[in-house]
Amino acid sequence: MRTKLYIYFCLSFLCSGMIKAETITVGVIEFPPHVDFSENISKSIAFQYVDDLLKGMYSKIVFKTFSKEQALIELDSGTIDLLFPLNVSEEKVRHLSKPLLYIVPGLCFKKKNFIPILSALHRLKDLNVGVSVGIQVLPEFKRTGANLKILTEDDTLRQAVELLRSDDLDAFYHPSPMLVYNQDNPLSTWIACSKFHGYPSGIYLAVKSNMKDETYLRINNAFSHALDIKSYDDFYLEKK
Amino acid sequence: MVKSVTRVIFLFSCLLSFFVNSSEVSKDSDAKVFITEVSNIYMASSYLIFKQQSLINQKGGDKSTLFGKAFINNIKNAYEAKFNTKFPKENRRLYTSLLKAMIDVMEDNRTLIYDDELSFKGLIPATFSFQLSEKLTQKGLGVKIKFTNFASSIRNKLNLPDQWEVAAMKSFKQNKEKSYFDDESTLNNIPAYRYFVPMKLERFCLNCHGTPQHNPLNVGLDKSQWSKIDVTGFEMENWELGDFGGGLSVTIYKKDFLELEELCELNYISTFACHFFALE
Repeated sequence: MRTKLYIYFCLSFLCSGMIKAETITVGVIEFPPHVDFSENISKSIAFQYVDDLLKGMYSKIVFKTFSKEQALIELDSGTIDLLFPLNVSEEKVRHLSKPLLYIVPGLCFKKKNFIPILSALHRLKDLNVGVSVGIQVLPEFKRTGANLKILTEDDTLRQAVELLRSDDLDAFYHPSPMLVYNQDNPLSTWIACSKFHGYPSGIYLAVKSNMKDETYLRINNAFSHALDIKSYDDFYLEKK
Repeated sequence: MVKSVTRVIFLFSCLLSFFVNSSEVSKDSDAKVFITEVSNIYMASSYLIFKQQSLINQKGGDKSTLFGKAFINNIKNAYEAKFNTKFPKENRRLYTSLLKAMIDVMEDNRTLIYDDELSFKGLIPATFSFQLSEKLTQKGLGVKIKFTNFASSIRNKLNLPDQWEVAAMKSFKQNKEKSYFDDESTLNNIPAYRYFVPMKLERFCLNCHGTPQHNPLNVGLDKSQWSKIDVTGFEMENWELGDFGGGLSVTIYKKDFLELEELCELNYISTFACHFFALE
């Protein structure tokens, strides 16, 4: 299927004269399970999707992996042209018009304390809930009367997990809890997460701020077209 | 001579007007059939999710029928059993997209469904509906599906009714109609086809919305220990079999309906894409 997708992207871009003899440099940050640095990055599904898209447009593509903080510095300085996957509700950066995928925030609990349906907001009252510093929490959740504990260590996820394990937290808030609660993550043996359905955020491909408008439009149109042909969700499902 | 030409022009205008109007009527009646079928497919899937609660929540076992083509086949069977008619042919892009969205929702819940340490997973018709509607929005299909009810009876405020839905519900309470289709409505000021079908409480709804005696959590307990809180964490409404339980509201933006239906016919590249990727 990946070959088919690539051939189709190539055909459609060739027809529209989109292929250029140029190099593009793309920053990649970890976003499991879509981009997983613990394995060869070429096996990550989001990487494959973006790679297929750009192969049809550029003669040379250079991928570079970064921490999120470093990647934002590189993007700002213009040493990378594109960066993905990025939650733009947390970072104010220029990005393509359509998201690659959506995430929904939620809470992660010890399994014995799992609350499956978070629209039952009254059940969250008085719970001690860890929130990473800088994360914007849903206003609806703030109003539940849960006690929010701000997590400030360098690795806030590790801090949250430890506090949950020691029962100093009842739950922790995560902008995309499925990154924690998935079959590939060992934490899923004792943690389970549920989502605040109805509050999705887009995960985008960011572009450097000084990208020429012509280049931006070319990539943006190609990406929108690719999503119309096969959404990332469908691509992910097939590869999984 | 001038009179003859005028008559011909007039006749031609009348004919043109007739065909244009017929085409509009045809599109609207087509939309009515389509939106009704979308609603029925959704209700069949919802019914199936309820029927599969034991499988969803059980420890271990083969749960493969909750995913992929097997899940869709079960929806088709549920549809045919519930509505006593054949499942619609999947020759429309929107049907295919709807069914694919249902597969996606189940896939998103795979870890949850296979988690043997959770006795109640929370994947019930209401949460399935919510996730499905979210998925349809994300796919940009212009289709919105929601369970709604009067504000005083709603559990999740994201499902609060808009004015159109309130008017539809009031009308049902007075006139006892079966469903209502509106081809001249809007949603967010965008022209849309809207459809509302009222739902009477069925036996399976009572587990959560009935009285404490229907609450599965109370099975085996003395009446003095019965809980009014259902398995989802909400207080039970004490509704009875056959009571008005709100309804299913389906909206399709006109622009999206027409665009999607014509996509494969009008655009050669998209035709290739439709059949090569989406419909294979």
